[in-house]
Amino acid sequence: MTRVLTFIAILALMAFVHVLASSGFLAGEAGITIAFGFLLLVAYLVGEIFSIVSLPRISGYILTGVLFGPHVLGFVDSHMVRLLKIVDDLALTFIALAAGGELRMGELTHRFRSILYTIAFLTVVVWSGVAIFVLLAHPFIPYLREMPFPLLVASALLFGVISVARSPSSAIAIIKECRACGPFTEGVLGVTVAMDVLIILLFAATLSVIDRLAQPGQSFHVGSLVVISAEILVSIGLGYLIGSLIASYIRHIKTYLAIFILGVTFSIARFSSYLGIFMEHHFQMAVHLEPLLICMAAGFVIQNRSREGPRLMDAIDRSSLPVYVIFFALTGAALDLSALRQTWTMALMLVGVRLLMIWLGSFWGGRLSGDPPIFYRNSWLAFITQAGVSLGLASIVAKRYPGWGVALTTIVVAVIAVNQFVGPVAFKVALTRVGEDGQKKW
Amino acid sequence: MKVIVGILIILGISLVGARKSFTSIRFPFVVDSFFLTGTEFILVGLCLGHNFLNVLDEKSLASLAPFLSLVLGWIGLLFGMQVEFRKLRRFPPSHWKTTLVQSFVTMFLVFVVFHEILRRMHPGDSLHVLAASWVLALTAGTTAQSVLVLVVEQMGRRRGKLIDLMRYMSSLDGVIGLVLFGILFCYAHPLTPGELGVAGFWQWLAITFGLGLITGFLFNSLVFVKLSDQELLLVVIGMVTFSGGIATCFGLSPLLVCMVMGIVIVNLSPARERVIATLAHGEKPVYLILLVLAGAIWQIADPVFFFLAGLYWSMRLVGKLLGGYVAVHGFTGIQSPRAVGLGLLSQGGVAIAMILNFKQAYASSLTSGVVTIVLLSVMANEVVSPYLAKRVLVGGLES
Repeated sequence: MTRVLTFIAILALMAFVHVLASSGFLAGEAGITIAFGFLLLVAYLVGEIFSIVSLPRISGYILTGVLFGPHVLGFVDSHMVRLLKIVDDLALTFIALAAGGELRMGELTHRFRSILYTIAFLTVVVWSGVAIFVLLAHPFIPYLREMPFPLLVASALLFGVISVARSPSSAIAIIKECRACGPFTEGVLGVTVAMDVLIILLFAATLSVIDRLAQPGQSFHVGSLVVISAEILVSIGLGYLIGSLIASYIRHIKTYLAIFILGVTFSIARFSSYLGIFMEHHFQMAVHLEPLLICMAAGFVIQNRSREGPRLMDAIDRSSLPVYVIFFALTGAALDLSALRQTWTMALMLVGVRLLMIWLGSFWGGRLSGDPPIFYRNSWLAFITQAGVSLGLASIVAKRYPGWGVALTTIVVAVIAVNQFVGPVAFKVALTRVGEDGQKKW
Repeated sequence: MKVIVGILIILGISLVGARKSFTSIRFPFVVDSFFLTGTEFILVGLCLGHNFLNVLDEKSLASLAPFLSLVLGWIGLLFGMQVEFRKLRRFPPSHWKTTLVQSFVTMFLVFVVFHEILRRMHPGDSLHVLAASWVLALTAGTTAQSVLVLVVEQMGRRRGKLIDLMRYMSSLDGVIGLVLFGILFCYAHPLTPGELGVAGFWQWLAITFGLGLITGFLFNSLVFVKLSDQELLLVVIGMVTFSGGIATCFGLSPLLVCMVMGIVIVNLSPARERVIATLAHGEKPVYLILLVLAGAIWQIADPVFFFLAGLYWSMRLVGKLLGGYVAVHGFTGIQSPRAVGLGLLSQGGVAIAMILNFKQAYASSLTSGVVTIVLLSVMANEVVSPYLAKRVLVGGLES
């Protein structure tokens, strides 16, 4: 009750400030600081209320961002969300480091067959299933109805490949929140992280095919795939180096580890972005190192190639709550609800088809790899959430194909919005059903 | 890119600094004093700022505004947490009078002299002249605790009447300074520069204290339920940025608002000890980041301000000597050397926090001059104050 009253009081204070700010009475530069503090406190409280009714806290954080973000109440406007991107980047790489650190070689080796089968089946079934659905349903989708067949195939392939992507950040957040551990959790995390790498390659390959379909004279760009593979390898290599650096810091310097980790992860995010701009500007080369991959590799190296893994995870756990809260609240605030309003029927159909395909893929992947039935009957629930990676892919499509790509992106964003709400709840249910919820002792 | 390099350097320095400063590593006299309190980080910030490397240029510093608000709020909260009435009542009332007198004498001297000088230098700019001389006076009146703590530790003696009194004064003159600093924002409100005076004063003062009280009670209600360390850290960061942000939005001082919040917490919250522990854990990195930011915003001003820095230091010295003597010998019966004010020369974090907040709110042609004066004085004091404080305390113990 006290918390509810506190929640109302913070809202009242923010509403008062918001009214004054809207009237142009207040200094605008401090808005970003207020937005940061407000989202942190309110999202935390909403998360606590969600946990009372057995819903995942991160759903509460996301909902807070949606409610108080630019599309509903507008306490945090689009400009503030853009300015807070710097915090968002920091949080994402921090979470990726945590995800890498959660992967333990022993468990992964033990579950290698299951992970491989699940990835293969999920990729093939989801991609092809969603693509076929789009091809079959195109007469009912306004912007696809009049589209020439090659472009229709291109759109279907893109819907398919983006449906394969999932969210490592959400997965790790739920695992941490539920204090889950065990073979099922390790397998889900392994699949999610591996698919984060795979999706980059698949997406690049799809774009090459689409370019050929859209402009029939063009040949298939094998070169671009080689470049992307090289970028992935360099990212992993850089992650290895950074992981060794962090391990060395933990071993020799020890103090203020959480702040050090925050600094390193943030600089990785900014360095990757800067390098892309620098190479484009000076050498007309599109080079893109993947900050998520670098951090996941770094976390993996510390956990599996040094003795400092437990201390890394301890430091991450101690400071991770504010990072998760602000990251998911900002994710919610950045969600484009207008896209969902415009395309909700199509979006819901795609969500349904994707769910069905995920169920089929994970069921057969798990069954053929010899997983226990309780695992393969519930694993589909763990693979629903989509977030940053999918949104990133969608924005690339919008930029690359300004006409039909923008329309496609609107639907994809709407699908992601739904999956962002459904996914965490479903994953929590899966962890409870397999009995790995609350198994980790801190 | 500059923001990234800047943040990286600041973080790196802060981490290494937090580990290497405030320790018992011995260096020759002057160097030892410099490293003792981490003052060298002002010079590091100066190198990173626009005077030399320009890694932390104006634009980069502007994008670090939320970061700065967090640091200022954190310091305000820390000072507020020192005003625990239950503990303060254990000291005799004469301690409080002594603190007030030594602080006010110094402030008064510096204010009178600098108001006159700046008024002649900038005729017709009464708002900024008043704000600048007010800030110079307040920064002069405050005393840093860190040097005293370190000197007392080095002496191997933690208690004693004079030691207790000096520690009391160095704790509470910062509180007085922060209250008066917040009052400046109400009197010469930065968002309504034309309305200097009492017209909106009471309104802004009520909002300042009201905001501090409300956020303090909100904080207490958030920690009413037992929180984990992670949750407590989240609540501290959230409340400090939220209340500091609102204060800045209203054109008020986040330092005072967060200090009032701290007073409410320390006196009414059952979780006070845990909040203090959380704040103390982040204190060193926050302090070192503050020093680096102060160095970075330092625009080397007109050479006349170097002369004025010397004058400021001298006036402060006179104020502390006079105020210290009158206060200690007039209100307490504690045996102490005549020059007891020499033990109160150290001038660290709170003075720097004030000039950072001042620069944020009152940008004018005088701002860089004020920053130059205070930072030069802080550095000079950090070099000599450990030696002088030790002499005063040894003298006090012998007498």
